[in-house]
Amino acid sequence: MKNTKRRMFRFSLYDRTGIVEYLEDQAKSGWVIEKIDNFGFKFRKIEPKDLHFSVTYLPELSEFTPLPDDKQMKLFDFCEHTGWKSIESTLQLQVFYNENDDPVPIETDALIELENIHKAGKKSFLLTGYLFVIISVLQLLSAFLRPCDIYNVTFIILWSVLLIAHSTELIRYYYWRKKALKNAMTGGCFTPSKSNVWFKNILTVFLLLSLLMLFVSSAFEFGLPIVVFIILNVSVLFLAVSGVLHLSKAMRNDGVSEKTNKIITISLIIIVTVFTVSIISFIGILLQII
Amino acid sequence: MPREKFQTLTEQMFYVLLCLRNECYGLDILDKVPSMTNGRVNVGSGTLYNLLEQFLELGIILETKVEGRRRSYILTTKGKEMLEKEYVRLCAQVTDYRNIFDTEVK
Repeated sequence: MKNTKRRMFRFSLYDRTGIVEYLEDQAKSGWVIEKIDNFGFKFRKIEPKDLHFSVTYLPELSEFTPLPDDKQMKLFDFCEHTGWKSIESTLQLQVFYNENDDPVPIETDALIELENIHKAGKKSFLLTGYLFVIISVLQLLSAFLRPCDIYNVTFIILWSVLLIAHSTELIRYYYWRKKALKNAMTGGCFTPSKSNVWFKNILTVFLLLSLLMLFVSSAFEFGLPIVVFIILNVSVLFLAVSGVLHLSKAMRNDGVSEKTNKIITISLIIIVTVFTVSIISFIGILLQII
Repeated sequence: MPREKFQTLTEQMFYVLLCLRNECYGLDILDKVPSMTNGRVNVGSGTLYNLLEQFLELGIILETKVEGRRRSYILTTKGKEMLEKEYVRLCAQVTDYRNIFDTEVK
């Protein structure tokens, strides 16, 4: 029988209420979280029990911060003092659990908590959200200028799904934040957050379908060998970038400074991307000549 | 709009600063506040962590000692002034309350 399991992270990053409820339900059914990273949750089998979970944010922590980080350790010490044990996390989002019956919550000031979530968001989900909205709009504008064929239509569907996914996430966040700020200032309590998991699932299905359609229509438009070649190159690029990210993680654990890690990682990603794209373009031109 | 930062202090801010009138370890504040208030006020560990960071940044408190991972802090003159200002504000509220209710009793 398996003693560990992995689950995808399907929550909005700011949804600390949803994450806590999910982790408490998992503990009740005999799975305790062991680790949280960019790939999602890792759980370990335990005897089913009632555990209290808490999620808090460390905006200062970045993907390049050397570990163990002083500020993270300071927070861990404070939390441990009140019975909260930390879960391994490389993200700004920090997870803790407590086995005591009625523990003092980690966050007791809703305004400070909201401010922290927002600061963390500016460096993570808000930043990527805005970037994706801008890229999607630019891609859609360029697509509308091209002739209408099956390839272009699937391209438009793909970027529309991405635009909807990221813009709704941003709108939902700001709507919740506005309500939460108002409540925090009047009543002082934290307004429960919520992720739209079913909507995210539908969008993921749409995204996968439109990706598939894009490959099929590209095969009709440019020929199957070229599409297979592009897919292979994208896979190589994906593997190379994953390798660079692993290297970055190793540098983090070895205590390499944030600045050095950032420079090396970003430079390597640019080099790998330019190299792969150049090969694709070169072979594309070669095929056109032939 | 959020309240202007530290113009007025929340109960938790007030007691954290009160603890730091004398040099004190950050961790000890977690126990001192509930014992000072008979358990009426508790400061969460995440909230305390953030408050200390913000107080340090604004020069309201000062880091006095670092022993391994234990750090101690103390109020600065600016911090003392803030605490005093809050005390005066609270006293004014009490006086206003008394003025109203004492008049009613009479």
